[in-house]
Amino acid sequence: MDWAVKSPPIDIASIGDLKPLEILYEFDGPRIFLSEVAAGEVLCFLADDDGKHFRFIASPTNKNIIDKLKNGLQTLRDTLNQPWVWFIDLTYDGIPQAAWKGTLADAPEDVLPEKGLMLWPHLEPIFALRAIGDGLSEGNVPISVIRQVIEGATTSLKKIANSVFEESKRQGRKANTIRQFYDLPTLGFAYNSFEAAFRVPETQQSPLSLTESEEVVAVFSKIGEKLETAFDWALDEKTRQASGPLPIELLEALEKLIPPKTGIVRSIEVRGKFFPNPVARYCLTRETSNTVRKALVAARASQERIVKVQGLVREFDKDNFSFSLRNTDDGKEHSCLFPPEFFDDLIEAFNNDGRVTISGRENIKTGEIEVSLVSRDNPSA
Amino acid sequence: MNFPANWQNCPPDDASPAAGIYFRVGRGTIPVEDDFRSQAELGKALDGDECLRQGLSTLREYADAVHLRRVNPRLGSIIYKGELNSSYGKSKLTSSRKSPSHTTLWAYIGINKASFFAVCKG
Repeated sequence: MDWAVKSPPIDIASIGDLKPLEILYEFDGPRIFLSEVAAGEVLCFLADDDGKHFRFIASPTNKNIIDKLKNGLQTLRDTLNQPWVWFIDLTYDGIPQAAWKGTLADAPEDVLPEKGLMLWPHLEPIFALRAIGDGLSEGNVPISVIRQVIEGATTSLKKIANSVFEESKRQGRKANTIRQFYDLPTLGFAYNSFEAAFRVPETQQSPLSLTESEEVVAVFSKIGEKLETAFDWALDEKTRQASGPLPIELLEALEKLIPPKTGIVRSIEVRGKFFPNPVARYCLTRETSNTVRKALVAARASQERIVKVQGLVREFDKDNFSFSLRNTDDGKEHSCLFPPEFFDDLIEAFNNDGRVTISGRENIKTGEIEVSLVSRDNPSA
Repeated sequence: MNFPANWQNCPPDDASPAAGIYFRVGRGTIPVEDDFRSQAELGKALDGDECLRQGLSTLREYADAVHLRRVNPRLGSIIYKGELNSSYGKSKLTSSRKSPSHTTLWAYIGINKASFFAVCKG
């Protein structure tokens, strides 16, 4: 091998034959598997092969840890990264030649699985955002960055999901719960920069039928396609010239993902399984931010306005955070979307027939208001 | 077009003529024969399934090849793509949850395995 293990050697008699008891990943033979040694169960990872010997990393493990690995709740690297590991050289016919006890830090970076990688491809996050900036590392991530990444993910997905469901409604299709497509379960956080990863929601009721499951996949694919369209537009001038202005909902989704003009975050990297190219990574820089903001100012000037409307809350949708505002002071009925922090005030107004004053951005064409402030006109005593 | 005479009952009866796109991972900017040697040719996995040892692991999905590259960076950073047909040999989807598009490829005698593959540009 071209890397020497600097950890203390151990007696190879304690290794046994490292036979795979359960193979977790194979390509040209088992690469990741469970085995049993005198000290207990180990997770074995084929780190290197010099043409005569295999070098495995064997990490102590248990059922709980392996279940997390198999269910995508823990990355491969984190599962291997135990308080101690063995480095074991085996001949091709499985005879241990040498072994050492050390830590994962004793291995060169390029023999280890990438940070953040899941065991199997289907466990990879459906959507992941990474904030990149100088000084972002574990223990050193300001709360503003965490908030930006989480809100960016949720809000951008919500905008795209609403757009997808509007199209479905126009086609006469029943609208499913939109929330499941943007209020995603968190897969985890990584502190190489700062990354938040999200997975496909599991149903909490009985398993989805095949048809329902296919519909969910189809919606996520549609969201991925729209977001990819937005990124292609934002990242390539030729695409912008060829395709013309982006729809405002895509610009507003981008607005939530781009890095701010100042501060610690210089760029945001986006990836996810739902993109048409599931291995693509989109890097949004401050230059991208300038492009998006300029286009958004122009679009909002002609398509949106700031409004303040008073009325009664009717047809409250708890799952999709929307309601209809009627008996308004402007004489129009408005569909309204609101952020979760206004839920309690609005549902109370709905239940008690209380008037509210809302303000936010109104889409001039549809009359739909994106609520940013709520005031209860007659709060209950 | 024949398989080696010492391959007993291999490839299996349910293997089909090679057809379509197959991916492997390697290190060189040009695929070479060493990137396409089976476990049997390399003397590895002596207690593994003999027929699978005679074949070559490939993946049918590009995303799976990218994933493999990230699991084992030492395997190489280059993805090779081959568009194969029945003149190459036979293949069988030997997938599982562990590797959904894993396909074992068995080449006929005399086939220059590497020559069917080129670096995949993504």
